[in-house]
Parts: sequence; structure tokens; C-alpha cells
Amino acid sequence: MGAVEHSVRQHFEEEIRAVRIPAPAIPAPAERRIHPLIGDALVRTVAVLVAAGSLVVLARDLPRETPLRKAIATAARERTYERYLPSEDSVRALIHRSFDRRKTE
Amino acid sequence: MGKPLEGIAILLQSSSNDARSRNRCFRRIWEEYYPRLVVFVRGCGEGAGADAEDLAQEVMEKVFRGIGTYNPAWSFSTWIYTIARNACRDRARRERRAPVVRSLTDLPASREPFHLRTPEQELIRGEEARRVEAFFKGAEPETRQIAFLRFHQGMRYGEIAAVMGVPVGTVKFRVYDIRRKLKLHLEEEHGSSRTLRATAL
Repeated sequence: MGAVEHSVRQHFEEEIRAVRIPAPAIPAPAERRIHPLIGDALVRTVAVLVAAGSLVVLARDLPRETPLRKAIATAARERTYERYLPSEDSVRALIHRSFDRRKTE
Repeated sequence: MGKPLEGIAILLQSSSNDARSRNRCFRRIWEEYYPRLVVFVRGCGEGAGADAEDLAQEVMEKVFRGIGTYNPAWSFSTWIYTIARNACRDRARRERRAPVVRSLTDLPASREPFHLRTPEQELIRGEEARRVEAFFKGAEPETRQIAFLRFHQGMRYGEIAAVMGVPVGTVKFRVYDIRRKLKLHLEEEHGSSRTLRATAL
């Protein structure tokens, strides 16, 4: 060990000797604690599960589509199509106009 | 020096249920490391330096509480000084955010800075030790800590790098730099004291 190292060591030795050592503050046995991050993740997971569960329960109470309603809906759809379909007469007139009437007769 | 304490730390981990042996182990670690930690954390800046004893106690508490996380594959002293270094950083960060203003009269007698000694004590102390102290007073806190870990604790470069959170190369350079500057400082002081003595004669 060089002279410089020896001096530094002596210096720190002296400082350590000058420190008064108080009675140790020994903590009580550590309780088994959950790590804060794991605890946070657990809380979040539980919150999501509770929210999803309550949504399922609420959805059960919602009114469902009855057969009558289904029939009404189908009828309404059909009537809508009818509205846009050309009438039988107009189709016939169209055919007559397309072909020579005399030929067909 | 560190090996028996590593054994104690392992014993502490295994005997967590036996209160008496646990307390005995804690006491041994406390007596061994508390004074060293006080000296080590003195280099953590002005604010932390004034509360070195408080900070050392805080570190010891962290060590005791976290003894279960200690990995015996690593050196026990490296683990303790890493905790101390992190505590220093936290303290410095807190103080930067909200600077603590203390009155000198608030300081109890036991908290006096270590360099305030009686004239008799000063006489007993070697001249060289005073020079070394003067050097470290003017140096950066990290310089003091690295010097402590290397020259007093005899840690390897890799261990110091782990404690300080810097690359090994940086530690090597810092140790070389400390040695060089301290040598220069001691030589200068030697020169000036010789000149003073010659003038007095």
C-alpha cells in the first residue's frame, strides 16, 4: 500500500473511531407485505372483473326481442322493398314498349 | 473483513423466526456498519452531511427490513453501500426540491461536525491526517465516497462501480485521479510547511 493510500485509510479510520454508536434501532419482524406494484395490479384486475360482472348482470335485465316484434320488423322490411319495386302494369308496359307489339300479337 | 458479516446476513435470512438470534445478528451488523455508513454518507452533499447520523440510521433500517432481498452471491458490503448511495441520492433530490433551513442552535451537541475537535485532540491528530481532511473537504462528494470504498473498504473496481452506478472505467480513472491529486496536495502542503518552518527559524 502506498503512502497516499495509507494516509487516506488512516483518515477514514479516525473518522470511524470518532462516530458514537447509538443503541441499534432494530425493527420488528417484517410482516409479509405484498409488493406495491403487485398490489396495484391485483386491485386493478379485481376492479375490471367487478365492472365486467356488473355489465353481464345488467344485460340480463334488458328487454329482449319477442317473436311478435320480430314479425313486425320483418313485415316492415318487406313493405319497404315493395314500395320501391315497380308495379305489374308498369313492367308489362315496359315489355310492350321494348318489343314490337304487332309482332307479339 | 466482509465475509463473516455475509455469513451473519445469511443466518439472519434463515432465522427470521428466532427473535433472539435475529436481534444478535442485527446488533452485530449495526456495530460493524453504522459508523462506516455515517462516514460514507457524510460525502453526500451539505444537507445530508449535517444529518449523516440520521441518514445512516435510515439506511440501517432499510437494510434490516430488506435483508430478505439480499442475494448472498453478491458482497454484503456492496449491497449495503448501494442502499446507502441510493438513500443519499434520494435525500439530495428531496433537498433540492425543498431546501431545508436549519438554525445552528437547533443542532444538538452530538450532531457537531466531525472536524470540530478540542485543541488537545487536534494536537494528537497527525499533521498528515489534517491535510487529507482538508483535501476531502474541497473535493466532490463522489470523490470522497470512492476514496472511502477503495482505500478504506478495499473494494474492487467492479464493486465500487456497482455501488456508485458508474462504469468500471470511470471508477478506475477516478481512483487514479484521486491518488494523483492527493499526492500533489500532500507534496504542496509538505513544501509550504517546510518553508514556514525555515522562515520561523
